[in-house]
Amino acid sequence: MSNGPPQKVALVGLNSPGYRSLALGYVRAYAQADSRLAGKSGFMTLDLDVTVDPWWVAYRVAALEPEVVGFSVTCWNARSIYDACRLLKKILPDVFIVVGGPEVAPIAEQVLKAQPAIDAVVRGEGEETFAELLSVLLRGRSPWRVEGVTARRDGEVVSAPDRVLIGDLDSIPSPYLTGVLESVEGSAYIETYRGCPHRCGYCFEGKGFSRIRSFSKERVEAEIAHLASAAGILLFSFIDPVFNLTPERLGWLTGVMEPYARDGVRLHTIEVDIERIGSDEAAMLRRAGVASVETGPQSVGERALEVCRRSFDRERFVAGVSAAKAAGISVECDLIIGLPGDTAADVLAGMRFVADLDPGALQMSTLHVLPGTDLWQRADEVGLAFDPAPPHEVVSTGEITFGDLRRLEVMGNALMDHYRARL
Amino acid sequence: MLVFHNIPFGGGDEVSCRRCAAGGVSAPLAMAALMRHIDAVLGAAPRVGVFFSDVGPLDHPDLPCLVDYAARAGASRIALRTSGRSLTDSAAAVSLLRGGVRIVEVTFLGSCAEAHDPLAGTPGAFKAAATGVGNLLDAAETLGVRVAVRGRVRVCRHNLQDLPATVMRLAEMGVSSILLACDSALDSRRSGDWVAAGCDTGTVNRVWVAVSGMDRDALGDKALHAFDAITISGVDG
Repeated sequence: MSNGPPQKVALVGLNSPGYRSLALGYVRAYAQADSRLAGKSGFMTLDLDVTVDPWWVAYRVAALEPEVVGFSVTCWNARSIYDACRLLKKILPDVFIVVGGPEVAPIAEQVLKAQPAIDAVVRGEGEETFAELLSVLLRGRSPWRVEGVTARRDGEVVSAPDRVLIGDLDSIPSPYLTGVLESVEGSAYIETYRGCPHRCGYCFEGKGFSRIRSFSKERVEAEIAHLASAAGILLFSFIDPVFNLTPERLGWLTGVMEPYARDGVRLHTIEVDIERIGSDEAAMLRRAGVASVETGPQSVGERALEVCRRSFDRERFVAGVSAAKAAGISVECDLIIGLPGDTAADVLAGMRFVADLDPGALQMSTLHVLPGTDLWQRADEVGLAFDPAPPHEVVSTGEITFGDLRRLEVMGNALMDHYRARL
Repeated sequence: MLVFHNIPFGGGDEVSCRRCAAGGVSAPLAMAALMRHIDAVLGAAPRVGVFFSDVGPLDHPDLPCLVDYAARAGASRIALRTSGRSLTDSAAAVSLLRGGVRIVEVTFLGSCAEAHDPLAGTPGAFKAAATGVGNLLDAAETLGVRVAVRGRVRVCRHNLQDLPATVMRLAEMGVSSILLACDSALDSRRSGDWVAAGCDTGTVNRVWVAVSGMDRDALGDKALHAFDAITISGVDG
């Protein structure tokens, strides 16, 4: 790597079409504000669609002539990123390639052993760790000493100790208020807290952290006000795992969003605990500009719910869907095909249950056994076979064969197709 | 799954294998009778789907009025069955979707004109059906509406060995699902493998193939295909 400042850092996201990476926005905003890097590092962000060919990704990144490249990796873009990294290392042999994100953080050592082009993996939250890693690289020190980093020492993959979670999320500069991240086509992501109150065995949304840490209300309100006024945002995507986390938060967010909703601002489909939605809560969501919510049940099979440590109260679920619909809110009911413990009959019962509810939208997904999840850890114990390569789709379960899983997927797609074909 | 209530229209000439039996021609039911049926169905179960079946809803002179009537009465979805012949005019497909029909079941007997037309007894029948499917999907895209086109294959001993190719052809056309409606005269033990092959062809092409009229055991490890994404009450295959 070149010793001469400024260190050129490229942050690369392969996102769903039309989106930009909020994670990279945080990482860049934090690093740009780090006094150790001031005047010594220059940052560029490249947000591309996940559909972009890895050769073209490598071409675009190489054209920036970076010394450090950081990729944000999920199960959906991992294969493309690994390909792009391999090519990039051939084009720029001295480039230092760092990856982070939910796909790689829980299996950092495996990733480095399998991907020789990658130099380091940032585990856990990336903001502090990535900034410190850049600082260490600038000083010519060893990256494997940085807390939260897995890297190579004399060819051996080693992991430094985990980094303590950021206690005060407001210490991360806002990517919006700092101008690091701009809206795309009138929409923007908003994150109000990190962590998840649930411990569902298949999910990594809480990134393995049960403790809820919130951005301050003032910070969230400032971001929303900035985006809604200055940037002309018409659609907010709240990425919080549960929008109605507590009645108090729901009331607060309703109060924040209501004035904007009156001016036509809308919320993209939010995730809710539908079993805690009654007529009052549904009315609040409506006032906040919510037109659609996404929820479970994921399964109605008792055994699968037990194995996945997920609660489901059928009566309250039905009541919640009814309350939302009565308020004019469309509900997207999600089912996961291939959960351990579910038989084919359980999956069919789930399809019947959500179809009978006529919630507004149905979403059937095949289980992806994600790194860091409880199911990833207990796959053998619960009888799961899955593709070790991302996106880690389930191959078979102890209850459902490979063939029947594929059949249930196709049937689920047909049900969604026919469900959508409505007046 | 999605439940539809059957509203038989009567009338027309059913697409069926002429080598098995001659197609029946019956008189179309009067509009008043069909409206009473719609009232009865939606009165008992508001917001359900209705399925205009029998042999020729598209040939019924009062179809637009009846679709509108069902929509106003609260039907969540309106589906109908056709040979596809009436949809060879693209304007008819547009009109159908504008009226509110969102699920259309088109009947096939084979994978190509050489297989389908002799069984249907009508030269040009396959081309008409295929054109109808294409026109519907084009119209849906033009109008920006979600439509599900469903292929219905009437299975008898004369088209059994053509099933995998028929399913493949329907998948290429872009249907959302396929129903293999097996003739009651079929010997399950002899036909099960061909039906199962048709099911597998659908699975690998990401199109669901449901089977009716065949004992689930005859499907062996493909028994899931006895389940359909939609259920039409009061109809056999």
